[in-house]
Amino acid sequence: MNDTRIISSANATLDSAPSQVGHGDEEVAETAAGKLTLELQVNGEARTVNCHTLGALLASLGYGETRIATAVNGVFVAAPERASCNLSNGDRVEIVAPRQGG
Amino acid sequence: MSAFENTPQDGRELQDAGELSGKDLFSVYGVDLTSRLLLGTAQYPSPSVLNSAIEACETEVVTVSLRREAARGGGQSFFDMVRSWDVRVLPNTAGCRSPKDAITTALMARELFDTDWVKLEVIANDDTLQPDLFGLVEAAKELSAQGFKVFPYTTEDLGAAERLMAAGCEVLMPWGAPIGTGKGLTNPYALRTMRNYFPGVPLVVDAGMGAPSHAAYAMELGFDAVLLNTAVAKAGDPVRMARAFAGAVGAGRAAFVSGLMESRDMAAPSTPVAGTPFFDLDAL
Repeated sequence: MNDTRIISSANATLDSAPSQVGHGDEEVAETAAGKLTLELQVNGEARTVNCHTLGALLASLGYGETRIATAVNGVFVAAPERASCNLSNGDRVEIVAPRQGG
Repeated sequence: MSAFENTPQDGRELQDAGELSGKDLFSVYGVDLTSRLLLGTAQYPSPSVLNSAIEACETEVVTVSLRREAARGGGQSFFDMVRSWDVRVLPNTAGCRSPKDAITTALMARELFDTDWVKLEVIANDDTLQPDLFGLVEAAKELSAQGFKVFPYTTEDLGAAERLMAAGCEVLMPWGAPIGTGKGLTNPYALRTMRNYFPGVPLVVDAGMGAPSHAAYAMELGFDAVLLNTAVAKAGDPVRMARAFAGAVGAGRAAFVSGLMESRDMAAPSTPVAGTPFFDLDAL
């Protein structure tokens, strides 16, 4: 996880002025590491996290090497793209795994 | 040929090269399969029973799904079990109610299961789990363009079927009855029409079968295969029921290929009339 934070809601705290533009039209600011959190929906549950990429989120949740597939805001994110997939406040993250089916 | 005829071999060419060599293969997307029973993997009382059921019916294609990972690593154990089977995996998009969700689910499934096969479901209604045919065609078109081999869960609607084929589908999977109802073939007329309308297209009756006789009936109508889950998984003895369905599918297929007799309204004695003891023509 780097120190670039993507801010999109008023309840986030900025340590410095915006300096970069991330995906979408989110406001982005460089901050001291660990100061900002994101409000996400992870598999339908609200979570406050300190991760700002999908790869970091998965690692923090302990998914590591487990066999999963992911989507953010309904868009598939392939495994090689997770590390560079920036997350923003309000993002909906889906983490799925193989399951029995008919 | 009329779409309403029901003579199983009324000009329909045997599509499988294997049939000519006596193997009677079911070919779909260039893959030759011996088994014509596709089996779902959900709702079994235990993984052990699921394992045994798959072994008992000798299926070569099993349906699977993906779901939110609640317990980390839980999906891996199921995946390892699937890999232990000598079968092809057909991931579904069960529960998706929009083309967008179905497409994303298919993309995730392709990565998870390392296959470009997908059983495409776009559901229109919670009570009937009826396919949303408009969304189904839209999703099938996009997924085919992205290289998927789409197995669409559809109805008997011929117009939708033609659009699915135009979208790139090389197999169609009409429902027998709504998923999980076990009612069998609720509209055999429409299924028979579909079979005769698409004589060379692989057709799989998917969903709604409750008894082996339902599967046999579908095969007697000339369908190429059947796909079912609940009827086996929820049986008192799923392993034995899996074997029963395999037998029924085989019997129905053999009957279709053999050519069923024409039904008739009036009785016709099977025992020769000539030489009947005590026969008296004047008494008739």
